[in-house]
Amino acid sequence: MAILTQLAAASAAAGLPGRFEVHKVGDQYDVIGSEVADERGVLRPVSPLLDTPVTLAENERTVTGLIQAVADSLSVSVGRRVLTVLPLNVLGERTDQGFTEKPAREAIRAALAKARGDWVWTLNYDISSRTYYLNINRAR
Amino acid sequence: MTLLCAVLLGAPGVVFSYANGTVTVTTDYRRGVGMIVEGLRERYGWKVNYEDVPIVYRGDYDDLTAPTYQPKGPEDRALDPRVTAL
Repeated sequence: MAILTQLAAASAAAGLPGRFEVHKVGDQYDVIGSEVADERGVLRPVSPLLDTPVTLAENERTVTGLIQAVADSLSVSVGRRVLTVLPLNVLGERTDQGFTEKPAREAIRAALAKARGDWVWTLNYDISSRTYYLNINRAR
Repeated sequence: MTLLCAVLLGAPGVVFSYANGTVTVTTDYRRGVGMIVEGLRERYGWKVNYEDVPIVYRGDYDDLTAPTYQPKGPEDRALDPRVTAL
């Protein structure tokens, strides 16, 4: 965790956009953008997208389908497009998970826990289209 | 004194340098934090998730739209986070 904390500090010291926090959850680490400059250049705390609570009824879906449903729910909640970039022909395991007011980050983590192998995500933000891209990748 | 030094490429644009038992990770790519996270995943197999910040401040991004290109609207521009070596 130390290197990730150093990375967040180095990014701030270098003046890169945003500030980042590091959290350890089980055997994973989350590097989360926590502050960003507003239109006037003043750093303000942000509510990370994946903190947004999602509610999804229990329904049999694939892991891919569940992650897509989380992204669709986020798009509606925050009024911005949240597109998924999912690997082909994997994450086809079936699950009947549902969520009630669960932070999207934990919903995604729970969904990926149902898949074979280890998976991580990268959430990128496209400035011009104001669109989030949720990339799911296999951990190596 | 023997100085052992190696430079290895990780994810595109991420460089791992080893010297005297210390690893230094650098990048000069945009989204430097995200790039280094990707490099750490690839090199060490760490399970690290990364979440961008939603950039709005003009000083935090570069407009890379080609001068000759006629954008069809405000979304039709190539805006990328400002780059600084990390």
